[in-house]
Amino acid sequence: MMEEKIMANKYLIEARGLKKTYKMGKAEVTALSGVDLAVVPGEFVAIMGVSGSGKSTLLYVLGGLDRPSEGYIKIDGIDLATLKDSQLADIRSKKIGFVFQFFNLLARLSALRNVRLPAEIVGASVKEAEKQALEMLELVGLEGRATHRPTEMSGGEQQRVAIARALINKPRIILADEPTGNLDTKTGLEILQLLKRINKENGQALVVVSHDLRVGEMADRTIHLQDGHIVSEKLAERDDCVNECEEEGGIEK
Amino acid sequence: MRKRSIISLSFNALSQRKTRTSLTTLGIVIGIMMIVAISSLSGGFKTQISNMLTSGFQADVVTVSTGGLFGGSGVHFEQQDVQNINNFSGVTVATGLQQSQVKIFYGGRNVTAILYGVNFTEFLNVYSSKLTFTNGSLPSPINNNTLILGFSDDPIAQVSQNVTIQFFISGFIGNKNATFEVEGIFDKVGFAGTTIIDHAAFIPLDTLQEFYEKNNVTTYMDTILVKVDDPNLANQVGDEINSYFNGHANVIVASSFINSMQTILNFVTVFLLAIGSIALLVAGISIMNIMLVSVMERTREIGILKALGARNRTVLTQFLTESALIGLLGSLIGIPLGLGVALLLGNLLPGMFSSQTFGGFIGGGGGFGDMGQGLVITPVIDPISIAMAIVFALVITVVFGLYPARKASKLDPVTALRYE
Repeated sequence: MMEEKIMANKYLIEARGLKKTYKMGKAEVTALSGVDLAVVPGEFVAIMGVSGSGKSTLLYVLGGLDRPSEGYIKIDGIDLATLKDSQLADIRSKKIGFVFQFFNLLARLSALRNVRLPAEIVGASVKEAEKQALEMLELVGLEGRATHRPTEMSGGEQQRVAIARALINKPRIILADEPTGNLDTKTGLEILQLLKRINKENGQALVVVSHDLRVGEMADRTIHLQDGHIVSEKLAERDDCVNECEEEGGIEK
Repeated sequence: MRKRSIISLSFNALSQRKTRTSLTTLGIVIGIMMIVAISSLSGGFKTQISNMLTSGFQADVVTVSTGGLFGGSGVHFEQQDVQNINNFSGVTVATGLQQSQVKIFYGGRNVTAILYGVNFTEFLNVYSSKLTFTNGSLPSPINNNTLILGFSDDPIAQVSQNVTIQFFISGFIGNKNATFEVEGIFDKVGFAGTTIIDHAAFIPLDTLQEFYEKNNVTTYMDTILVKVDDPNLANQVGDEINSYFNGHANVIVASSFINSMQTILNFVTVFLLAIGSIALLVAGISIMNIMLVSVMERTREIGILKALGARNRTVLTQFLTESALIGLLGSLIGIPLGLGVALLLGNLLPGMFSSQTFGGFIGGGGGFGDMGQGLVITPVIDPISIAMAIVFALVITVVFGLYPARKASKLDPVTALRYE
């Protein structure tokens, strides 16, 4: 049943006519003014743009953290607008993994407990969660740092913990908001390579919002956002992607 | 999210802020301590008082007096009244008493005492189960100058010694003396009904009344003790006596007197518990305050939890669990402390009710004072009231934690994530 449904929806993420306006006091600020976007399973999409272009808002809306003012988003064919807050939370915990610029780890918890958290949220026992968390820490190369707290770790290590946390429930989508924004060049590159590797090896779709140009170079597809709408879209000219991505990527207009 | 995970996260959050958590918990500790101490102390006090009353008052004796503590009611008793009451159905024996204050002299010493004129045979019949002799006995036949003394640590005279009693006669300048022979000394008993036994002196009623008549002073009996055939008849007989005197006499039935004393004690307990509850309520408000601050400080954490897929309900539960843990911790510390305080006060408080305060109030020899000194209130540890205290603490903490927890759960995830 589930398989059929997924097959019927060739897009993992499908968003049409997304608009988002905020009220800032009396003024109304438009963050998104009509964005159409689709992501297929396993795709690596970079969303580039200057600050204030609406790219973070787009990511939050795609991830079900925020609701659009207009338009719809379907994740795995499920229209997010039809979901109650609690169901939206379940989508976030099971289908989406978030990676943030400032890592957003809980400072009072060890690396292991941070990574365990999403598994515990979906109801895993502490034992199961711990087992999975250890695997994830191993995947990001931090098996030796499990008991350390975020404050005892470097930025790069913290971001790895955050990635491990995003991966623990094996979501089909990883959404990263400026994952290199708070790291030095070398560490940033390592993090991007890690994300790219996970994307290729696990087949999890990866959407990265950034103004780090290297993200665009690594992605299968790069979207430029300006003043809340897409101004350009470019497919990577790379062997591993040319055939498939050209067919599947992008949204039919 | 499973319970274990939520509890472990809450515990972690609380232990992260040790000072704040302990101070907040302290409020609950004090509240619970007060409630537990008050309820177990008053439980012990009630048991003690009712033991004292039931041993002092005999359930089968109705005491009729001319007035209460605050003066007479205008009625006086005559031998005919005693006779009439004696004929009431259900009455075993009725006897009249007349009280007076005297000075007893012996061997260069003197002591002020309450003197009762009694009909010895009847009086001892009424209190047959209470009054026994340490030394001596009631002579047969009873002489006019027979004197029986109540218990005292240091009696003014011993059996078969002759003492001089000085009577105070109102409206008469000067005092009148008479000589009596000590025939017996009662065992330590404290008091019997409203009659003080220890430290008091007893002479035949006829002797007392003749003495006054000789001095042209008219006196009347002030108390009638009525022993009934069955304690269950006490109320009925009490009612009959009451209507016999047209409601002018003060009729004390032991069981109803004890009941009304217990009602007063219950009232005092409820009042004290209310004060304890206010302490707990104040602690609850401080929990709310602390939790509100905590929610604000942890806005970002809440945003993260939500981004990771925690439902509003999960966030709500987590914050409520934190409050409830404070309540639980507070009561776990407060209960033993409260019991400790109860034990301590149970030993200290009776000492404060020394002869001066209690006995002095009664005047004369003072029967209550001695009872106060030996008295230790054993706190009653009632599992139900302890369970209630825990429940109360949890209810308070959860109720006051609800608003902050709801606030946390309603936070918008994006706003919360961006919160600096």
